[in-house]
Amino acid sequence: MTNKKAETARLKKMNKFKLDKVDKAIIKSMEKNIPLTINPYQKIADQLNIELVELLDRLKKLKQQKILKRVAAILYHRQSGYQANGMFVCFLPDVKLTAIANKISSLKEVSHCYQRKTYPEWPYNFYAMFHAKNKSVLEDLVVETAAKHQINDYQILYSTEELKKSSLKYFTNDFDI
Amino acid sequence: MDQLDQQILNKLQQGLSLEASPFKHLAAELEIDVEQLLERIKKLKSANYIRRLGGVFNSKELGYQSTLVALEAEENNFYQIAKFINQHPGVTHNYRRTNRLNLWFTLTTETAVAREAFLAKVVNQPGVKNLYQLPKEKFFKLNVFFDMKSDSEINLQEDGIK
Repeated sequence: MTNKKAETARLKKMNKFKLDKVDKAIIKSMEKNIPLTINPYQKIADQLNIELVELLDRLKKLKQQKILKRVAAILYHRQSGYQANGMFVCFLPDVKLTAIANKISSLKEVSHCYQRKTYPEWPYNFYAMFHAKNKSVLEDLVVETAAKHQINDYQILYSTEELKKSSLKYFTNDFDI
Repeated sequence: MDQLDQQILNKLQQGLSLEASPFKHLAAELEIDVEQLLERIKKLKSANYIRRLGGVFNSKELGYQSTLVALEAEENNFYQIAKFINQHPGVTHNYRRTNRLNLWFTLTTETAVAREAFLAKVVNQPGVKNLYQLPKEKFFKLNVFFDMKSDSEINLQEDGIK
């Protein structure tokens, strides 16, 4: 159950790297697209009313603190030749889970792999996201993988509609809907 | 899309350098000039290859927590339910999937209290038959790097990006 005190303690611990107003403004600005110009950071620094050097220093520090993973492109993968995306779910008994999960994780066609919470009517504890050029290639690979590890109870859930995809907006106050 | 575009997309996924002119740096690596690179990137954006080019942050390090949620939603109310869910800024992915559990979304909040409060509202939406929170219990792999260079085979590079 939720416990406000534990929650506060956890948040405090998480904020071991205290972010000031400028850091937060930088994050807010960088969570959007950076300008496609020769000196994009100069433009961002100007908007934030700080010096270019300060912006770069703070970004480097955020990166060191692992708050900033990278400044990079996120692709639309359907457009990029990976037409079929199937979420493979199955039940793996505890004793086998880690070994099989590591094997499946090592497949180059698999992007995400997690163990997740189960329910009596949803007993699948292992999830792997498979990507392939098309559905039939994907299914062949899943069938082969399942057979190899003697997994009988599994399903592939295809996404048939993208209802929302966005990146997280930080430090907003509208989280409490 | 030609070979140069593929190279550009691969490099952009790996990340730009943190310096005043990161595109100049990348252009030099690709042995093209920076104007040409910027032109190409603009085209790749307008052709919907690039969703976003910017900072990728670690929500966990910023104190946020995420969970996956699966719903069994009545078809008649499906889009109304999706719309209600999507208005939450912490919902970053929401898909219809082929299953009894037909609506799957990720929810990121600053606190468990906020998560529970929102999900209590979701479960009360007309047409929501069941709701399952499926938090991670163990992490094995997260790799979002799509190698654009191999035409015949998929290659989600192992040492891409974590």
